Amino acid sequence: MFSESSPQTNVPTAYNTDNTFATSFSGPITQDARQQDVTRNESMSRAAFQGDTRQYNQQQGKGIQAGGAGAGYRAGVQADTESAKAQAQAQQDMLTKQADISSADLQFQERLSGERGWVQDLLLDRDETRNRERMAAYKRYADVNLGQYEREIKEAVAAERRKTTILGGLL
Amino acid sequence: MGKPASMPPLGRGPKQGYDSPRFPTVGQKDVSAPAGGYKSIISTKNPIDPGQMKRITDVNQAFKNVRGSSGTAGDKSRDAFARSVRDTSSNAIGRAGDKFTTDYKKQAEKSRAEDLLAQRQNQLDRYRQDVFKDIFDVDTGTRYDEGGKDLSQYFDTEKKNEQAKRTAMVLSFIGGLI
Repeated sequence: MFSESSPQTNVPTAYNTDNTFATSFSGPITQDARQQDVTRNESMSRAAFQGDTRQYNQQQGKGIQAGGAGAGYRAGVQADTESAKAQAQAQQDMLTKQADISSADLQFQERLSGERGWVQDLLLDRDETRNRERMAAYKRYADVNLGQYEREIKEAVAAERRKTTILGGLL
Repeated sequence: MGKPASMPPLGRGPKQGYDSPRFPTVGQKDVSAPAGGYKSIISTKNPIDPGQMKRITDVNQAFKNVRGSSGTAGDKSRDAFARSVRDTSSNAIGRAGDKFTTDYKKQAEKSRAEDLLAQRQNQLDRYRQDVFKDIFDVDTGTRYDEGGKDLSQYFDTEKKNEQAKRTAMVLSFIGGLI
């Protein structure tokens, strides 16, 4: 019933159907969920790298004479800031993913219901056309019967008149 | 026989919105909902349930002071800083989620109303078609019956006329003999 051509270079996808009253939407169209997971995982790993591993590695101390304790502290806070951003981004990615799925669902529902409404309208049009044809048949039947009866009545009236004419001739 | 009495006054036509005992309604009186009622496939439930929202707002803390009191004062202040940032992020994401949910439900309810309205419009169209057909049937049937009566009466009248003519001829003939 349905057919869809394979996309070619610069050739729009064709859609064919021989069913006048079928809907055409395929389903919710969402972004690649796997790609969204990859994005979130990257955010998480960035956060982990920028975050508290430094604490275990004792980078807050002087280390290899990289600076004073204050400089180490500032570096730690800077790392924490970056880490916090990545942590928040990871959660934001979760929200985005969920919102994308929900929005796609709603959009699909809206479009399918819209198309169904139109199809219902088409079906009504078709039924009305069919019904008008049947109504015309009904009217035609009435007209034919009335016409036949009228011819028979006229013939009967003519017969009465002929009787009168004959009697006039006899008298 | 004489001239028949005048026709009864027609009076006013039926008033919109009221039943008329003089002119009973032809066909169904109102739009009927489809079997099972109007239904929409558009869901208006929360797009993100509370459990999912809890997972979404559960932001990891960027730094935790794992050395406790043996750590430096810097560890504690970094812990506090990271905690406050986490809470702020969590709140911001929660607000964003809430806004999304609210916007989603507003849109879903609007779309559902439009969907149901379209279905009602179709039912109304169907009602119009059905009533039109009922009117047509009654009109055609009335025209058929009244047309038959007209023809029948035409024959009766003509027959009486011809009989009267024949009677008059016979009387005239007899009168001539006398």
